[in-house]
Amino acid sequence: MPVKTVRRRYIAFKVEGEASKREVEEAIRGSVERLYGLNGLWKLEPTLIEFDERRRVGIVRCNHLWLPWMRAALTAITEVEGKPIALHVLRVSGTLRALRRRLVKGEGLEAV
Amino acid sequence: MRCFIDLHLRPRSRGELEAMLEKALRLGYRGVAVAGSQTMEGVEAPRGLDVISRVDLKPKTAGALKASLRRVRTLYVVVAVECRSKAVARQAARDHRVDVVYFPPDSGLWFDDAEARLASQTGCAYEINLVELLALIAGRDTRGLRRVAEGVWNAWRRDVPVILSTGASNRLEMREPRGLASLLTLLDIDIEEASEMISINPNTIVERNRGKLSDDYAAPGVRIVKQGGEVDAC
Repeated sequence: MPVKTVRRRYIAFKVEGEASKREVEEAIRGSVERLYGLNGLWKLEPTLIEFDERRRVGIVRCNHLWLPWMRAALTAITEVEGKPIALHVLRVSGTLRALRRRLVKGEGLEAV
Repeated sequence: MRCFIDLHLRPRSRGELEAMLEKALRLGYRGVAVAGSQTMEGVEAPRGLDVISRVDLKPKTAGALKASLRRVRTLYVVVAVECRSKAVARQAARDHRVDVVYFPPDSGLWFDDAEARLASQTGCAYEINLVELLALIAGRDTRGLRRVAEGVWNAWRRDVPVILSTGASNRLEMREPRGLASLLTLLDIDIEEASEMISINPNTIVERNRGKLSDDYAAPGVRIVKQGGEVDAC
């Protein structure tokens, strides 16, 4: 029986401060690369799934084994293009559908 | 569920202090210690958030530290010392009145084994501030990160509690507790141990000192349970 080896984690986050989708994507990849290098970049595979610029809420995907490292990379982001920002993790889920459902309900959004 | 405490906020204005207290509660903290020039006078703490008084001493000499400690020890729940010289660091580690020591990265100092040994006898804790850690990361200061990691290893070797705080002076420098803990994976610290640094370790200091500052405290292990009248001797 085939076994699914790569499992994902979907992390919903909120950005505090002014930032566009492109800037957030670059900030996340830049932070992962700064902390863990190219080796970390391919292992974590940070992928910005979506980012709502109005609500400043986004979802990033990573490899499940590296979730604490991904959280650290998000925490380490302090600025984009010279503007100060902060990223706060709202929720983590194993499936995108469950995460979106919870975000629609507003769970975790009270965090920021 | 863990009771997270951020033991080091240093707001620069009254408005910022109020905003930071609100945000701390929303991020999941149950307690915060406020240091710096802003006092809690006239500021109402949000419901559900325990606000702890803290003072940061920045003495230049060991003698100045002793003089400051005599003045402030009974006024604040948490007394922290910023160490910018080895003499101050040694004195702070060996003094029972000091709760926390921290080393600004620009001082070039770290929590060495001699200080860890002294601190293990007095109950003094070693503190890491997130803002300083982030500055080291942003500046790719590997030597600075190494000093922080060595401080943690020395503390663990001597059973000295380690405290992880934000050291935030504005809202954007604040982070949620789990994000804060996860950042210590960079120093090869397990996430559970890092979580203890934001919950159990600061809680122990606060509870111990509140007990000492209460009216019924007489001496270590002795509390006043009744005053006046006759006491039955067993």
